[in-house]
Amino acid sequence: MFSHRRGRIFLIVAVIFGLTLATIDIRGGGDGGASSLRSGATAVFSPVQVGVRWFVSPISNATRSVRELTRIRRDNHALRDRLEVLEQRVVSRRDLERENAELRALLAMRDRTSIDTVPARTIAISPSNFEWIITIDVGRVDGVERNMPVVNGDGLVGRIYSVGERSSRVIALIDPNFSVTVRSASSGHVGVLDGRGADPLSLRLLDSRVEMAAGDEIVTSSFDAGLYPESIPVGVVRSVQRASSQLITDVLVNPYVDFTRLGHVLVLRTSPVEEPPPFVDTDQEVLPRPQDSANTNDGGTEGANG
Amino acid sequence: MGRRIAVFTVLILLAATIETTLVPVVPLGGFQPDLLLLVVLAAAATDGPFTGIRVAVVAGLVSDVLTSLSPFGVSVAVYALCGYGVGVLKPYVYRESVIAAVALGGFFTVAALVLSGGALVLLQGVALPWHYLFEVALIAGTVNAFSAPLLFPVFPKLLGPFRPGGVSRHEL
Repeated sequence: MFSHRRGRIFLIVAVIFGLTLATIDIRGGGDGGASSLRSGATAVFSPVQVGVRWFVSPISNATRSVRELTRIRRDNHALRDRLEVLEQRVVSRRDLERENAELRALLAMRDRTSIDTVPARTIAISPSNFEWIITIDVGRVDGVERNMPVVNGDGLVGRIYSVGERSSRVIALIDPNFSVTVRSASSGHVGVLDGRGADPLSLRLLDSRVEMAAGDEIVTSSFDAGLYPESIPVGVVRSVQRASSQLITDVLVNPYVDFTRLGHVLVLRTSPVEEPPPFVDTDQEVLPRPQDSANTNDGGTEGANG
Repeated sequence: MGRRIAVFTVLILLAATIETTLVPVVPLGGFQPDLLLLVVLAAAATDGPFTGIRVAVVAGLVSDVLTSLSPFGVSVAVYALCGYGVGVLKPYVYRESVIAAVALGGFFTVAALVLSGGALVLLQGVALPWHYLFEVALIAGTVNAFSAPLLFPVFPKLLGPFRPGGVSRHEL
């Protein structure tokens, strides 16, 4: 009995301790001691995680190979069919030359607008089922800063959430706390894309009357204060459902990036555009302030009186 | 006693390392088993509520440190509840029963994930769909239910040479 009572008291103390920490963390807006503790833990854990990741990568590759065997066979079959179709097509040399020139122009454009990047490896993922945070092996010493976009060969992965000395945490595109301004690659219509965990991403269009169709490509927009460079592939529209009110359109988007197979990523060293100063009505500069106006009136009265 | 603490510390750190590095290798459709919680449950099933809560507080802090968006401290409270729950039920279940291990591992993992996810939705207003929350809880619960019979018998053997002292004597 005594033991049970002490056990209950011990439990209450532990729960109150946990809830107090949670309250302090929430009140601190995530920038308090908990944030420092988490950064410290990332710094301490990351060498271990790098080592373990290096050790298990052959096992990972083998498991992945077995898993992908079926898919590769299916892809192989599909590619053979496609090859047959392509071989039957007659492609003129002129057309190839034109395409070549077009691609060269695109390459030149890429070089002109090239962004400084930092290559990184993913070394860990968050142990929680309710957040999609990836730890990468580059940090402050590599020039990584908070909010920098992270991409891989398929498209947008996420953005830097917190930075340590030699490692950083990336909030993934699919995390429910992640939002990014995007646009349709074909029509240019802009919307806000929200992560929904394992479910497809949700696109909120700024103009709900816009027509979108399954298969439309979604790319980043520079509307997020220039945080993301233009035209990074994000995903493809999976389905469009218009609610009965016609005011809301549910657009679901499949991300291009496979978050279960992330290995190497690139951190784009962009810096957001500075917010312009608040609008000032220039008329106010020529109009007298109420106080001045009152003084002027007084003076005027005195003058008149004098 | 110091050696027991060392054993628990090693187990918690091992679980945390496996959970953050090895789990992505396991094909579970993007879901993760909660290994830290499994350690808490196994400790509570072996030693009782006091050890369960102690291990829960440490494992909860480690879990909170390794996450980024969940409120810091929620795992401590949730794990403590689960550790206490399993510890209190310990005298009523046969230690070597596989069914008991499956039931305890599955039920308390589902409960823990529903509580953690619920806290995230209620405290931080995260737009986490409820169907996803229950889906995650059921998958992680199933994984832990099948893992528990493998882990629960190992704990008494691991801790056997290091007899508990102090408060833990009440629980024997």
